[in-house]
Amino acid sequence: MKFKLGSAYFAILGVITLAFGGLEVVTGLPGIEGLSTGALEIPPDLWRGIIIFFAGAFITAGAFKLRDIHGLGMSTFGSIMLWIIAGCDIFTRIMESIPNGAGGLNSLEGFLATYGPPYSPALFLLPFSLVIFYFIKEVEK
Amino acid sequence: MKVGKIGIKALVLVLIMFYALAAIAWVTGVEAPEEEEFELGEVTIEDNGTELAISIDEVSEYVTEKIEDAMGSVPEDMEMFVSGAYRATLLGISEVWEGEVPSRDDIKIVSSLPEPASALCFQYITGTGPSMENLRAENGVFEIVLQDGTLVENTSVQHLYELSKNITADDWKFEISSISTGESFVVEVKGDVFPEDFFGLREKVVFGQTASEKEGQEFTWEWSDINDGFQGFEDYEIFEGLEEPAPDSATIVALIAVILAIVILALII
Repeated sequence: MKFKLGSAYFAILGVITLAFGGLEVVTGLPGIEGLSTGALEIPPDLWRGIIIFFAGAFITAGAFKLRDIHGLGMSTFGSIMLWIIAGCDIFTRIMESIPNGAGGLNSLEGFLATYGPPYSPALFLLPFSLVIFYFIKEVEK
Repeated sequence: MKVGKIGIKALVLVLIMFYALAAIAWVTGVEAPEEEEFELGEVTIEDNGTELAISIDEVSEYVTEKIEDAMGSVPEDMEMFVSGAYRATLLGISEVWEGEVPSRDDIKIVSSLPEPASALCFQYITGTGPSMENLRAENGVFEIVLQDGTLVENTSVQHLYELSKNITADDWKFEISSISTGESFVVEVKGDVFPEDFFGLREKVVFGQTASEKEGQEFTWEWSDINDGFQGFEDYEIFEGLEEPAPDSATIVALIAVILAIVILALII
């Protein structure tokens, strides 16, 4: 039952990731601007988009055989690709939050504002992809 | 093994802290204070005791008028030369007079750039330009001395326009000095301000009249970018010999403190 739910969960997550990756690819093409809605911003970056697209493809492909080590491995691999992109975003924000750009320390408002919206899809998807650890533990048992 | 666990804990902690900060920032809607953008100041000089603040628009207007009078039209990249010369003057004056307002008759500018728009800009500031009799009470000195040491005596727009055909990035050198003290500063534009093919393209588009439409468009983009740099970049980004301000030591200490705090918290958890 757990694995059936897990399969459905990762299939949905994979498709969403795939869709966001596709959108980043499209907005990364010359002459097309990035999309932004509410707190979400699709950065116009072709290569990021390709990585997220394939991350979504791997998560989805692995989701249907999550109990199997190969399927789990594929979903984990897709998740890692997503973590790399999100990790870069997080690292960028941390590094930008401390200095103020003029050689000094940022103010409290400036520091907090660095962590404010808009966020890339990878940042939204990262916490949801961490569920993979639960299934890794389950398979280990 | 233990080190690996600490690493994972630190990573989890960073993630938790990041999303907590993101949530606070999102919910409170905090906005960053506006960044201080570079502001192109005015060239402030004294003319017979009267303080004058010369803006780039004022210089541009004068240069355009004089070039139009002499040639009937204005070369499309004129603005870039005015901006470059204006920025060089601003830097030179601040370096030589160190915050003091120089008297117009104390300013001497020697340019290595044989080009009419930059020359007219310097002439306007030193009060040596054509038809400036009613605009100034006193004047400084302006000369064009080529890289090989040749003094250009004929500074008419037409003649300088012809000479400007073969200019390169190396010609963008200007010596600004105080006649009374002899103190001087050489302003040299960094070579990488100009794209590699820029001067070849300029010769083709402005003088050759054989450039394709694509080349013409490329040239327009390139000189516009250079012009934007002259008007918006910090001095150290466009001029040689100036150092980028080093980050505050407090920033480095804060970064180390953040990393240490994460490791210590990971160890405690």
